[in-house]
Amino acid sequence: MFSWGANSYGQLGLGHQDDKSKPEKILKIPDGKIVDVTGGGGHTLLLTDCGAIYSCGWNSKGQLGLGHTDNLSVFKRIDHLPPVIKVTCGWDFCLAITEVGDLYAWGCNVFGQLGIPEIDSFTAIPTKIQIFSRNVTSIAAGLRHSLAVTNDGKLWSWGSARKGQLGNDQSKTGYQLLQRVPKQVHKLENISSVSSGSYHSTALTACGNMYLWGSNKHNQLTNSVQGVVQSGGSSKEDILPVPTKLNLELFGGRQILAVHSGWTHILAITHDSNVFGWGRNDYSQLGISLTGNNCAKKDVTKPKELVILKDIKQIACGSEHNLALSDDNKVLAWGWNEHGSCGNGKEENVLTPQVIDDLAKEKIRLIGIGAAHCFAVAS
Amino acid sequence: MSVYHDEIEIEDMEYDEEEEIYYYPCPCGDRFEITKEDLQNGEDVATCPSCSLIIKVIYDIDDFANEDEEVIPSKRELEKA
Repeated sequence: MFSWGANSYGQLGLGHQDDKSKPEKILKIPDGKIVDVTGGGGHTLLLTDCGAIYSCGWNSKGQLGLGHTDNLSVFKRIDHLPPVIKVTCGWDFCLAITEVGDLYAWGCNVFGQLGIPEIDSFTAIPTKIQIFSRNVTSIAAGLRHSLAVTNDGKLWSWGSARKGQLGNDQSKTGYQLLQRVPKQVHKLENISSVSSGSYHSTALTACGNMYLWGSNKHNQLTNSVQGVVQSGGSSKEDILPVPTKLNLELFGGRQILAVHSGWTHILAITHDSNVFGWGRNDYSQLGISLTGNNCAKKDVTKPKELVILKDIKQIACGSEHNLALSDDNKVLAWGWNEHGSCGNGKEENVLTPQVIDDLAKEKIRLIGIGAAHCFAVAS
Repeated sequence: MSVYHDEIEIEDMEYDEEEEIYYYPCPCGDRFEITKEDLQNGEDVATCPSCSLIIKVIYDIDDFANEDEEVIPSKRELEKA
């Protein structure tokens, strides 16, 4: 297993806190086959095939789930948690679905993002969200909000609500800053998966339709959605408070298979394995060169195909950069690279997807990502 | 680098009452920070200790004009909600 990128809090699991601009082998890895790696702002979670979670990195809000708040630069197992099948990280909190479909949360709760109102500002102990019982199938976490899908295809949201990211129409309830209890997002049915950026959310239906809502500050909801309003407060950001279906004609009529969100950009994979991106692009997050265009505002306002990406089996979005894993087990990276997140030994942003040469000889089978830290797992 | 990574309202920042510092997530995984004293002095650029990115803080300097703690909005308002 290899890691690279930002490492201010030891989130790379390498036993130190120095940034790495090239992949470095992690010497101390857990027993068992690693099936998922994901990260928040400065922490990382690792999931094995026996359902065990290991964590490392920043722990000021107990986001490592270890019962204390000391940072760790090597992976340590989270005890006292039933076997887990899915994990996700917000900025400084975590969600985990257990084998039986229960949902656990830990870390920061200042914005109600744990969905457990009894917890004050944070908890370092994984805690069950009682409102769900053996029925959670998919989860996503933004900077300060959370989403869950239940086995009846319904969507639930909680946490910060300031940018419309919870998808609950507030014209009836009045403007809310946050919501500490999970509530069902009305009118959404047959949801199969969710993703979230810093302040936006997406949901995918079983038949390949895509809904979007929340902040549209960088056109991450595209410029084609109806119903955008201005947020409260002084900045008057564009927000879309209600989940809105994206017209599949934007993808040439293709169905959407999977959606991944960076902080303010989105990558979608269509059923025929093409990759489309839109939203913020000023660090080349979308891998699209915009030479000759207006450089002052480099948002891509509608889905644009990344033609360079072919035969991709996995995609992962960081805050302002991305990774892709090809069918022939090569890792590609592009976008913001100040901390070496693109793994090429440099700091300049990577304008289009580039193979990470140092991993070319390894047979990589899994990639993982946090805000600006990255992982690749070899067979 | 003079281009702001973002412009952020003070209400979206987290305030540490002991340190008297406002924080906001940086895409590198660390946090942008600016002290209450800086804000009182009209400074509006929050910096990240780990990278070159900066943000502009949107706030009303009149809210920070004197030392009255009641004017600090962040946490108290959040907990009311």
